[in-house]
Order: sequence, then structure tokens, then C-alpha cells
Amino acid sequence: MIEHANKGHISDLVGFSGFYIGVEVSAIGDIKSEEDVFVDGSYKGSIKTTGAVEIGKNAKITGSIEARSAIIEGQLKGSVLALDNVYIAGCGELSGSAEGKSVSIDSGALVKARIDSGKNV
Amino acid sequence: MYKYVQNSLSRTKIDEQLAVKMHSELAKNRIDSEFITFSSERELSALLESLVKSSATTIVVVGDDYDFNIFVGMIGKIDSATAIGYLPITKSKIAKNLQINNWLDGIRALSQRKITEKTIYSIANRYFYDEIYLTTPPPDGSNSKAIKIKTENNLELTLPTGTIRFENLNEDHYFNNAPIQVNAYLPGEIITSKSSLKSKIMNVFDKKNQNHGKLMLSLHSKIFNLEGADNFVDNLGRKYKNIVVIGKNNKKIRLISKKTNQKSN
Repeated sequence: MIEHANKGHISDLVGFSGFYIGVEVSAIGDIKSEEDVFVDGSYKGSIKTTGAVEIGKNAKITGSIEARSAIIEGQLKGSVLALDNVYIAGCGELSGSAEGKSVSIDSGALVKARIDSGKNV
Repeated sequence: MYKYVQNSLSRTKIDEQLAVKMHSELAKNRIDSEFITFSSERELSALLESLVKSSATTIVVVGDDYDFNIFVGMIGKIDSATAIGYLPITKSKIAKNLQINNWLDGIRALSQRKITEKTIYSIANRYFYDEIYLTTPPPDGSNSKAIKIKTENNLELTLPTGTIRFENLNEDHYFNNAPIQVNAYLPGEIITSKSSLKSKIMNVFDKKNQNHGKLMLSLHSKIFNLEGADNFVDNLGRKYKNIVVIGKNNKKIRLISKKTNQKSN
């Protein structure tokens, strides 16, 4: 698994090998993985992984995310639950809820969500 | 009993001089017999059926990786106890993986008869060895979303036409539960120095495929159901219907290689 810092990007790391849904792809269903998951397309469903999740700038997601850590740069309608950190970038949009050891939100991010941080999930 | 099969329409020809040398080496190792030719999958299928009936214990492909992959495609006819050998007559990725450097080395491997097992997976009514590529023409030349992929866990993906690569990850035990990797690439978008940073990263992500277009999908599963607007064609030029199931059946094959830590026969 890739270890990445709070504001790092899965896709910035050379050697990324995981679950990738590109901007050209739309998907419906449930993802259960032990790898890092990077979604940049449209997706409806749940993502559950022991790895990290990155929601790319082009992503439009409706559903829930459970992961070790999560980076949101695109749109997420639903919930995100991380064992470690949730990072919502300035270009990110979240409506729903975010829960994690820490939740950090960059200025410019559109967030309409219940935030629960600072506790072990 | 060793039997040798050769594609008479192979892209790599075996000239008379080479054939004489090969038979001479095989005779030295007391495993020589006629090279039986085939010129189509249908002929190969009938040939394999007759070889199994004639109690051939070892069937050896003489040719290149294209011929080997054509052979593996029809391998459903072969009894699982039959050992499979390979005498590569040109540079071969498959032989390299079996630690066989050339046909002479392949003959040494045949005489030593070290067996390594590998699980291969079905694609429609054929099998593929390490990887297979499928393409389908875009409907009306457009780039509309025309391919649907459904995984074993009912994840449904819709993507544009392009090249879809299925890789057998069987040898990597990490992927036991989902041994087939799918990577899909957009057509004609070869990564250049002017491509975006993300494209470059995604290209690094799969170094083996730098000649393909931009990666648009990567995941693995046990079974894939593929549906296109039109029929698919694979990298060996074989045609498939517009609905293809990958990984529905699997088969253990016994390969003769020079790899260590193998079961002897």
C-alpha cells in the first residue's frame, strides 16, 4: 500500500498500482478493495478499501466512502469515513458527512456536511 | 511420448536447415518426432484431440509467441495431465518467463522435464496465457461510450471504445481472489512529453504499456462480462461476438520450463 501524506495525491506517486476509474468512465456498483482507489469519472455506489481513496477533480460521486484516508478534489454527495485523514481540496465539493482522525478543508472548498474529526474511527 | 506442433502459417518460418538442426538435437536427447503442422484453429483443435487420444504425454509448440498463444487458445481439448513444452525459434517473452533462452535451451528443458503449473483463464470459448487485448470499432466512427464491463461483484462500468487489455495475474499470489487485471486505454492518445502530468503518471503506472493510449480504467476481478456495440477482435486477429465473458472457466496447465522450485514429473 502507498503511504501518502495528508495533502499528497495517490496519483502523484510513481508506481501507483490500484483501482483506477478514469474521467471517461462511468460506473455503478460497489467497490471492495484492499488497494488504493482513484476515481476521476462518475460513480454511484460505495467504495470500501483498506487503502487510500482519491476523488479526482473531474469526479462526480454519489455514495459512501470508507478508507484509510481520503482526498477529495471533485464532487462527493454522500459520506466519507476515514481511519486517518480526510482532506477536502479547494476545488472539492462535499455534501453529506465527513468523519476521520482529522478532517481538513482548504479555502474555496464547497462543503455542506456534518464534520466529525479528532477521534479514532 | 513427445509430440511437436507447428503453425504452417507462422509469422516466423522454420527453414529446412533449422529443422534439420532441431531434429538432430531432439534425436540426441531421444525425444525426436515429426513436427505436425496446423494452419487454422479448427485444424489445431482436431489435432490436439487426436494427440490426446493417442496418449501423448507431452505436446511441444515449435514457433513464436503468436503460435504459442494460438495453441493455448485451443488448450481446452488437452488433458490436464499433458505437459506442454515450447521451442521458441525467435525472441520470446513467454520463453523468457519460463527461463528458456532459445530453442536449444528449450530442448534441454524438455529433456530435464521440470514442470511448473499455471492457471489460465477463458475468454469466450478460448483460453489466454498471460495477456490478451480486445478492440472494437467505435459505432459510426464516434467515440461514444460503447463498451460495458461488469465484474464479478456487479460493478458496472461504461467506457468509450478503445483497447482493453486482460492480464493473467495468476502467478502473483496477492491476487488470488481477483486474478485477472483489466486495463482499458483510449485509442490514439499516445503519451507525449506535452501530455498532462496525470497522464504521465498514469503511463508510469503501467510501464509495460507505454505504446498504448491513455489509461482510462484499471481494476481486477475473477470474471468480466464485456459488451460492445460491435464484435471484438483480439491482438492475434481472432474475432469474438459483441458479448464476451472472460474468466468464466479456468484450467491448470503443466508447462515445461527451466524455472527452479518445480515439481518434477
